[in-house]
Amino acid sequence: MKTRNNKAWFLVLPVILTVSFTAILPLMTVANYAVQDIFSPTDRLFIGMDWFYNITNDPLIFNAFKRSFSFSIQVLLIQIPLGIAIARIMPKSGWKASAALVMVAIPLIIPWNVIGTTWQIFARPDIGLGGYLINKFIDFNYTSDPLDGWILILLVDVWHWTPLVILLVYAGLRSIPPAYYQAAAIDGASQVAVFRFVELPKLKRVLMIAILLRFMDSFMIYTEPFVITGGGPGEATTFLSILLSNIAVGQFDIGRAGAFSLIYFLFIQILSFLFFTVLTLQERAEVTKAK
Amino acid sequence: MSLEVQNISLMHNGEVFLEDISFTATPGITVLVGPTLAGKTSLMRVIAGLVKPDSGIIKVNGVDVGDLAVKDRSVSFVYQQFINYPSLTVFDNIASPLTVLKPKMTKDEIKSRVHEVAEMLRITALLDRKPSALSGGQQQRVAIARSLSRKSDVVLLDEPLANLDFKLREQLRDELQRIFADADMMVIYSTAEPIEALDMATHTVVLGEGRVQQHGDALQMYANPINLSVAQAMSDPPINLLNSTSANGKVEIAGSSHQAVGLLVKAPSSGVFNIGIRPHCVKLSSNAPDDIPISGKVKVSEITGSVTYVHVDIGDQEDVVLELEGTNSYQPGHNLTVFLDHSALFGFDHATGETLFTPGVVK
Repeated sequence: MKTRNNKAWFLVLPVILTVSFTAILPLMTVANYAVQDIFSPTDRLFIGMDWFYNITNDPLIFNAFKRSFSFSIQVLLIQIPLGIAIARIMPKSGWKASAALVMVAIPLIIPWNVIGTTWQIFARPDIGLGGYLINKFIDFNYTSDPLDGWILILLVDVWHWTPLVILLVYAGLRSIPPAYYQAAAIDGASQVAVFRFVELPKLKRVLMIAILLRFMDSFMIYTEPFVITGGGPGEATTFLSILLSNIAVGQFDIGRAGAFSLIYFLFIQILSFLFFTVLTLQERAEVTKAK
Repeated sequence: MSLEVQNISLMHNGEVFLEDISFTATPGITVLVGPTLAGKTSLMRVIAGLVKPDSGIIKVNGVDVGDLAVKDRSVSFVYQQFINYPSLTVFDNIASPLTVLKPKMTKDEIKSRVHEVAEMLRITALLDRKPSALSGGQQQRVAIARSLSRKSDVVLLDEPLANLDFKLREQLRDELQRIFADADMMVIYSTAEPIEALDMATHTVVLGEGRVQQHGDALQMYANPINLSVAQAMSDPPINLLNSTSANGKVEIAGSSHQAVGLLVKAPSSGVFNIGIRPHCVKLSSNAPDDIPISGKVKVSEITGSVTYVHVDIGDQEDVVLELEGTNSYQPGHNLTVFLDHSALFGFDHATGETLFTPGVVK
């Protein structure tokens, strides 16, 4: 009979303890709140799964979900192709490459609420330069027009996060051996063919990471809409995170917010898993075939 | 049919990559031999048109192709890395150069050509697979098939076997000779391993420091290298080099004095020179009175199975490596006297590396 050496468990114990305190315990607290109706810190009522039924049948939450999902899809549709396009035309070596990388990375190092405040002022038609200029051509007022509000938040997210996609794709492109490009040139392949048959397959892994990161991040977007539009005009930019914070902090409905948080958390996990599974399906099939 | 490389020079950021390279290749395999940074890949890239030389002319079948675009040069290139289109099947990879040819080939013509080449490289069973589902050897076969499919006048193989394991390398090398034996094309095959040039026993060009050191028949260069650089490029395992001094009809090697007999009479009458001898010509016993005995201590024994390389420290920071058949395990520190075969010695000028004398025959 084989004996097992369980000493390894002691080595991973510090990690388990740390994760327990940083992730599992707070989550358990939320789970605890989610099954109670809390009137005051001393006055609470166990209500089982009622909040979960309530959440899943609330049209307000369903609409916020549709908004968040639609926003994330639009983010992906814009940022992934734009990121690839910019990464492809960026200088490949020398000081120009370094300068371009620094320029591209700037939006990533600005605090999120600073970005929100900057754009909030910049896009205002009365005191903002951007708002003033655009109003010379079209009517644009993100404080009163729901579509303008949506477009502005989308624009801010594109400005803030496309650089991440650019950097990932740029690193991916640099890792392609020059021999691939030379072979394609000798074959007489067009630029489109080089992109389709050399670069895209080689970028598959970094693009998968970019899609996952951008989906998760944009689905959880909070600071920018909170600072710029506060979830408005109307409910145009009331994403799940804004709604959640309204319920938890605005209405102080902790039990309902707890149930909402758990569903929100699980949904992101499931969607990310589905994305990952679909994106790696072909790769795993090929590996199986090779075996 | 010929490929003429005339006075090609290439510099980059003040560094000389190629200097006045000239040779002519005819249908069949021409092997470019040289160590890393000798200029093999740079020369191939110039021939392919991927890099414009600073001076010189490339002619294919008598026509200067200097101004032709890469795709119009009738050149194929196989790289050291296994370069195939990752998202295409093996069939589509082999067909890819054919789809852009003018005049356009029909689907049936492409299919038949792909099958013909796949048959030649024994990959017909893999045509539906993607490159990622293939082993390294199979991927390189696909890359070679791609290069053959368009029937280019010139096929450039840049160390195509370097990333394969020993057995696969041997197998594919034999197959390449078979495949290219009847092909009506100029095949330029670059390698750092002299065994490949000797095995293919064809026209060989030895490159070193961006220059053609010598070209001609591989065996001839093995026996009569014109300088130390060629002798080193054509020797695997590396040729032994011993500092020697001659004076008054005697030659001092590794601290002991010997009568200048045999090939040593061709050494300079006085002064320093280098003696070269290949490891398999260093023996454990003397076969002739003129063989040169050298004593030292064993540093290490490298047992490969079929042969053993014994490194012997002979003092003055000099080593002699001898190649023995079978497995011979000598412990480090073991005292050993070895004999240099007097008829297998090379002599090189200490300052210039020019050859002073050679055995003159293949040893």
